[in-house]
Amino acid sequence: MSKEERGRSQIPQGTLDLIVLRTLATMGPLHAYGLALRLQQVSDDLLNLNQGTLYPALLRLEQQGFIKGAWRTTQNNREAKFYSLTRAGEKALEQETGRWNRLAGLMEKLLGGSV
Amino acid sequence: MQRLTQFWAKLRALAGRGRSEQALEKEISAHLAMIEEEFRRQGMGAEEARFGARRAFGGVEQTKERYRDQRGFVTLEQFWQDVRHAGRSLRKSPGFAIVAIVLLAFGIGVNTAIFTLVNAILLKRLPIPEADRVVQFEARMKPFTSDGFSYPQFHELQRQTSIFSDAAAFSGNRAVLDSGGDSQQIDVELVTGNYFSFFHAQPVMGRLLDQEDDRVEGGHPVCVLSYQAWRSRFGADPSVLGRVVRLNTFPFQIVGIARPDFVGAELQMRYDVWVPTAMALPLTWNARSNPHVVWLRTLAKLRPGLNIQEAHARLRAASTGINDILPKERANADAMFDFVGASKGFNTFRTKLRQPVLILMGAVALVLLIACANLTNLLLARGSERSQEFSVKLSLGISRWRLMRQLLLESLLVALAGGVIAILLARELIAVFLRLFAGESGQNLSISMDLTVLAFTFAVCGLTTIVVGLFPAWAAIQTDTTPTLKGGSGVQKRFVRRAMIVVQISLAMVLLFGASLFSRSLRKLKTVDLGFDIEHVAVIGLDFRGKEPITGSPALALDEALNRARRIPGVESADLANPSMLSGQSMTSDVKPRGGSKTDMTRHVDNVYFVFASQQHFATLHIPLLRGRDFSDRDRKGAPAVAIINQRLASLLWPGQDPVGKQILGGWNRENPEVIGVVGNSKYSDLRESLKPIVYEPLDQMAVMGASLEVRSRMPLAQMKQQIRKIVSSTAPGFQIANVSTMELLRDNVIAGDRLLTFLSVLFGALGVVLALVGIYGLISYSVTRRTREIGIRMSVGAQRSEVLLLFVREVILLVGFGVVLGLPLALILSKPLESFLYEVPTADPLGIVFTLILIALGSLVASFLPVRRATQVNPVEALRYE
Repeated sequence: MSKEERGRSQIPQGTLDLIVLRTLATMGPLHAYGLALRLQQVSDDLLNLNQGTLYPALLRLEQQGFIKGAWRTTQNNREAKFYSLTRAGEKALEQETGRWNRLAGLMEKLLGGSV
Repeated sequence: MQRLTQFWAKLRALAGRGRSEQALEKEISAHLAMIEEEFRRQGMGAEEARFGARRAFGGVEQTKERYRDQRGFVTLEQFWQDVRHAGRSLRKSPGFAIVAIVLLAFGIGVNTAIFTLVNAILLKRLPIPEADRVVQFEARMKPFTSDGFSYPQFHELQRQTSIFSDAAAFSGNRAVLDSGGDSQQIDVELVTGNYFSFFHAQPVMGRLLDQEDDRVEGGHPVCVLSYQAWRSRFGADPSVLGRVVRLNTFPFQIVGIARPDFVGAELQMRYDVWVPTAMALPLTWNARSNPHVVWLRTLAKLRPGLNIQEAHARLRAASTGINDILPKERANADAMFDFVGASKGFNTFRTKLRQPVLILMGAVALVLLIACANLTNLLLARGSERSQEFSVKLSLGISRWRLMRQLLLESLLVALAGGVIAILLARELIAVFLRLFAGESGQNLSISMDLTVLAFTFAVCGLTTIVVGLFPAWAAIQTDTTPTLKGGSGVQKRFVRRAMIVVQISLAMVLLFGASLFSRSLRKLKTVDLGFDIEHVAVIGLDFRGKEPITGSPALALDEALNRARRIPGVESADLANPSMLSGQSMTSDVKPRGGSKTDMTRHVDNVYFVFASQQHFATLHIPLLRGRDFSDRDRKGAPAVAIINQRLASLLWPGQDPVGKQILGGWNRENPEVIGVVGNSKYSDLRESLKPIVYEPLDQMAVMGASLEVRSRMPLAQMKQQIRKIVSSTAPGFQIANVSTMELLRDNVIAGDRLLTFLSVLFGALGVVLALVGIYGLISYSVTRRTREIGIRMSVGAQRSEVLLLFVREVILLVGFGVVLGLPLALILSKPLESFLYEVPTADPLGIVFTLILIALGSLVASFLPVRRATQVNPVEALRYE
């Protein structure tokens, strides 16, 4: 099972959580399918992930109290679970984004400087 | 913080697993439906869209599984699954489950019962914080040590406040409680005023006794009820406070109820009522101030910070001072006072029972080991039957570790179920124990299970699981998924299976040998020649209610009661004696010849035993009168002092001479009595002792506070008691009937410990043997079943039934042989510590060895008979068609 995961997921560990938080922050409440569509759209299909992969991440974020899920009806009159950001989630997004930016900056410097 | 939030979320998920599982299902199917819709909108066909949706989503089941992993605690959830799985698996084979649970219930049950004794007698500590400083007083006299003190002695000890910060005394008694209407026997403890504060006791209701209640002798008729007595005898009626009840017809006012958990000085005893020592007279017929009667036992607390050596030294130094105030004529007047630690409460029988209890603990450990060996074999056999199930599981991807865990869980469930039944079983066994040990006299033993015992039982369950389950579980995970490679572990399993049988046989031999030793010893004790005849003799204790020794009319009343008893139809003879033989009481003194030759005068016999008896004492007990005469009506108070001695004393004082007419010096009579007769030798108070030198003196000439009426007759005891009660109430109302017994019951009481050890060792021996035989039966039976096909082939190529028989008989003989070779030396080694408990039976008793061997051999024969017969009856045609 773990072998499978490593093979398919191109996203670094923990990054998916940040992306989900970011997406929910800009788009407002979304269900898992909507989230998957949005990710494909913004990444210009560069990010190719099984949509099922979102579920453990969503649950993890929910357990951490960063997002919360609620059942709502879609435009097509279907029951779906919509996830939205909590206050704790907003804070975490802010912190994580900062951390990510610092790390990205550092990586850039290191990789750029080593040539 | 975040981790904590996540942890809680997981815990919540564990509780609401069913609900969230549904929600997940709903969420994912909605998701799939939405992708499908989108694909259909893009123009795909229904079928194509459905597959496309699944492809886009990825593995639905994998997602769910990973989701579940994230949701809860993986191991915990798996654990619950495994527990449920183990339960189901056991339910599917109820036969195995029942046998296994019963095996362990017995094995753990006897352990729980005996550990309850160990705990109650050896482990429990006084429930007070300063238990470490608690000591009990002892008086060291020349030949022995006594823990009894008179009140004046205790009072002096209590005054040693530079050594002890607190000292309390107590004395247990039976009394008749009359609470208006019916009267019943209860256990009363006389206690000093500080007794309750010594143990930091609190009342449930009213108040407990204090110093003020114990000041003036006879002046404080108050009592405290135990919680249990308040409930059982007064229906927990709160209005009993202030009520007056009668104890031995004397009125006492109830002032309080103790808490249910109050135990007092002796952790193994239970009392119904507590009364101040100031009220000794109505309850013990002795004045508290009497310096001669040693009736109190004591506990004290060492002054905090005081060095133990220093404390011992100070108390020894004080002994002389204490002695100075005491009367000089008593043997204990020159006692040295000392103390020993008593953090586990007053040592009533801790020292006496320590070794027997530990021996029993060892025996039950062996029983449990046999049960464990047995169960290991059962599990191995079950494992072989399930090898297909295991290989399917393994090939479906279950980890070997998890399979092993499942199997160990099965063992644990069996052990726990066995443990629960064991606790119920142990309760019954303890009740039997109390009846046997306590007999008629000590109804107030308090030995019960507590949390320590429960913890012990569960620890044993856990240990059993590992001992029993580990090898079979390990063997199970060696199961190879490819059926061709089965060799290795099969051989190991076979070896372990046989080793387990050998272990069972050898341990059963140890138990059996021990039981045979105890049984033979008890048999010898019961048939030992006492020098008197104990059959058909009733012994009825008559206690004088007055304050002074019996003289004048009470003595006449006693005589009249004796004469009336002799006239009861069916009575052969009757007498009065003090003390009665085997009653446990004894009187001793040293004796010399008076007058005679110079060499006669140098003779001196220490520890001569005394009996004060009426006429017909020897006739009633069938002690032969060898010379001279019995006591007669002439030998009254005021008449010349006379005595009858036994042969042993005669030969010690006057070897080769006729003692009749000679005088003895010493003893309990103020005058020096003249020997008027010589009687046969006998024992006195114990069955193990050698024949004692004894002096008999006429009861009429002695100062006593009562005597036992000994009546030889074939009348049932209850009927005799009624007759005597009538006689006593009409002719001697100043007396009360204290104890009603027979010589045989007194004898049984003397050997209560031996009877208990014998009973339990036989019980454990029988249990061990039965378990071992069940083990042999199981193994041979299993082996026959496995080899049915082989037997069929052998028989079809011409083997005789006798050869098949030999095949299995050889196996049985080999197993039993190994068991004996191992068990016999083990039995001989382990029986060594029993030596001090055996009477005239050597620990390497050859008869016991023979008995054990025969029983093991016969037993194994019987146990293997049925399965072996099944082997010889195998029909070759059917056996070959079978597979």
